[in-house]
Amino acid sequence: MRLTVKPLKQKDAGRGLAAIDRAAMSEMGVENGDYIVIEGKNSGRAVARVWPGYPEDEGKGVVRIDGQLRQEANVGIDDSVEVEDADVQPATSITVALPQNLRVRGNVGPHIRNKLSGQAVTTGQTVPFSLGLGPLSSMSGQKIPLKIAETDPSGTVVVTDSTDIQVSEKPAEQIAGEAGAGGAASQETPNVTYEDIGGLDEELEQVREMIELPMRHPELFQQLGIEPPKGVLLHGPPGTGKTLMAKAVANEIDAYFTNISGPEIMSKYYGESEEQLREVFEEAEENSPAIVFIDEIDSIAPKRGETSGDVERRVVAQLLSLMDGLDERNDVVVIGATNRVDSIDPALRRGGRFDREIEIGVPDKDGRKEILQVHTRGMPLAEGIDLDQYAENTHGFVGADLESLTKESAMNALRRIRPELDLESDQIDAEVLDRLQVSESDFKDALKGIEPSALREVFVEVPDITWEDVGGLGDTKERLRETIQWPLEYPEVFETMDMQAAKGVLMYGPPGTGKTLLAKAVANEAQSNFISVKGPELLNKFVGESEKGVREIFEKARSNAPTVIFFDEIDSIAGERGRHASDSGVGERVVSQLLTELDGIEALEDVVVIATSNRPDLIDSALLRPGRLDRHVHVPVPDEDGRRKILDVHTRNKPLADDVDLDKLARKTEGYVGADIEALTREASMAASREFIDSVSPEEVGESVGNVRVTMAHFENALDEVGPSVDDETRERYDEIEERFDTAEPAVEEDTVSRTFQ
Amino acid sequence: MNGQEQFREAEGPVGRREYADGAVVFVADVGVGREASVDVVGDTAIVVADDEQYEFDIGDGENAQAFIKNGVLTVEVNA
Repeated sequence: MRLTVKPLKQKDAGRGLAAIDRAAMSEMGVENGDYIVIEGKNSGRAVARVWPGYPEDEGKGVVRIDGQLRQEANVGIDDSVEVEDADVQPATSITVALPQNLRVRGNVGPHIRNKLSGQAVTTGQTVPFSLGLGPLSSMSGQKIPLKIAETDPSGTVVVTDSTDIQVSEKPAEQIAGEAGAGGAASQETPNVTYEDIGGLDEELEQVREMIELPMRHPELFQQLGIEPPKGVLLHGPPGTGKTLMAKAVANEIDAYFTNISGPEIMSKYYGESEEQLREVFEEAEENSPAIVFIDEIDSIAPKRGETSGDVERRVVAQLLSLMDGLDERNDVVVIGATNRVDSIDPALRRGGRFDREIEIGVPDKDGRKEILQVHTRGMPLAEGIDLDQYAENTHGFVGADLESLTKESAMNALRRIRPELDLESDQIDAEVLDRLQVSESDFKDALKGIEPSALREVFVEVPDITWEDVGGLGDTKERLRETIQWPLEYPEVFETMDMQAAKGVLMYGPPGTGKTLLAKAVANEAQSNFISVKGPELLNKFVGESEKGVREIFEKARSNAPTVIFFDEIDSIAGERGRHASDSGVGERVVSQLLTELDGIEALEDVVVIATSNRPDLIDSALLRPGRLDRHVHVPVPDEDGRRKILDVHTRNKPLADDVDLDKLARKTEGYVGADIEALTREASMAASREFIDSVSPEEVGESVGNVRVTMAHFENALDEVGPSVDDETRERYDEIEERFDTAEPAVEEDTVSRTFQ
Repeated sequence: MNGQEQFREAEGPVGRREYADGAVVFVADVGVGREASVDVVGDTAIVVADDEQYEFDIGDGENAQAFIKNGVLTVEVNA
């Protein structure tokens, strides 16, 4: 019966499955797992196993097959094909031919059987085959074309585990000539198919609607009385798949595809560049239907007002007239791709030229999972690898980052077996190939080394500090956790309670009390991207550049959400406005920019700002009102209990003598902040080391270092050397500030405050 | 791709589809040529493929039909 071809879901691709909806299945009298023959155009034939249809296809008469099968059957998406029950024999033996340039030693038969098992093959057919190693493969897209030279019995057979696999002596290239039996099936493997694009379903649908529809069915547009679209502009951050999408569309609709790479058409001779542009379009027109793809279009079509070169201006003008002159040039569609859409000449961006602009954004979690599935499709993964988990952990990764993640993981796996490889020899042992697997730890190692490309400029490696490393400050920690982790972890609670997550937190307190440490812990625990901004580095000598810095940070944070932006020492850039007359107002403009970014018309989603300051009284008050940095957390000078916990953290891995009484030390260190206590423990251990090294000869150091202990006496000495950095006066000042903030923010319950603020 | 990978890579590892007529179908691709069998005991389907065993809950075992054909495992539960 006739069914319409649709793409298969990414996860089911590459296994020779055809998803058919249930109504059609019962009409044909086949059930799940049966073999069917799909007959397309020009005697293209593909054999597949029936896979139950997706519920959304029910009753639509749809068969979903992947790009490989579409290529074999010589059909495109939305074509109709004849599908019928197939009579397929299990193969007793098949003979395969490998390409000439492939050098593998040993018996690859079992390996090939493993991989081909379940596939239906015909003599003369080329089967893309991933070996999992070597320069030719290892990546999903790169597969070895394996040719089926002979089958027994003849006709279409299915490879089973008991099939005898012979490797032909003749390389695949020589057989190509004689075995014409396979007909259309013996084509090259498909380049890029729709299944190779993950996480861009909506965008792909839009592109197809704009390009595929007018080319296949121009009568639709005639009926509606509109002109078919002439161009589509794809824009988005680098590495999100713009070029890939253009390639896939060209491949799937089988149109003539020509490519203009921006700088290539530039010539030093007068008029030559425009000429080249004209030639490309003429060529496309002669071969219509055609797609002209202009990659990095911003390089040849920048804003005319802003370029200095005469050539660019003329090229832009030429492009404009070529695109608008397309009336007579039917069936030529231009796809432009750029990652700087704002620097393209505005005249190009109107309807009639690039009719639609499609943003290819940074993928979300589901998109990332699909992309990972695409890239690991041909990869031998060890058991227990959970792609969901990696999809979750890779905020801000674009397709290219994910590809390099899988590539790095595979390289790690390769590195593991490399000692066993004899690089001198021409061939690689098939057994070693078989053992090559990408394990969980390969992935983890690779993840450490790759940072999202959109964040490269500002990304800070997430510090290795957990809540455990923060001594005391229990209530402060709790409040930070509520503000930052909860909205990300329990979005449903916030939705039900109709609450907006806090936009920002200001942590203030005397120097050394652990504000920065807390921020680091938050960054680590919040499972978000982390951008750290050191206040003064934003300032720039050029007018407008400092504000631009702020804008850029927030833009990056938005496109890579969830993100925590951390401003250390925020008082340096967000001082009270109206005070400084001397700095030509830069500071004020930076503050204004911050204010609008935090509470502007463009909402911040999943972006949290953490700021720290020693002098909250100097910060512009507009920044501290609710809706901006609405949570004020005092990080106080620790009390005795807090000091005891801080001592615990700092002495956790130190060899202490039995007489060391941490409780007593905590009592004695009134007025010490976290940093002082760290200095104290360091000083004490230093004294112990000094004693030890002076008393032992250098040769014996290695042996007896295990016996060294830090004693109470060492701590007593250290107490004399390290004094408290906060005196009563400072503390009083912070208490005053706290009181002021307290009255300004009456919403906080009294008892929490008193406990938190000591 | 060997059978084990296919088994695992299939969505989680057995896909579940709910159709408008109330039927629920569980599917997985075990791989052709493996000796696999499926049994429904109570409300649990037990799949044995070579020496591996896999179990999953199918909700209503009484109206279930289970079979494996050319490596495609199907358990259909009619409402």
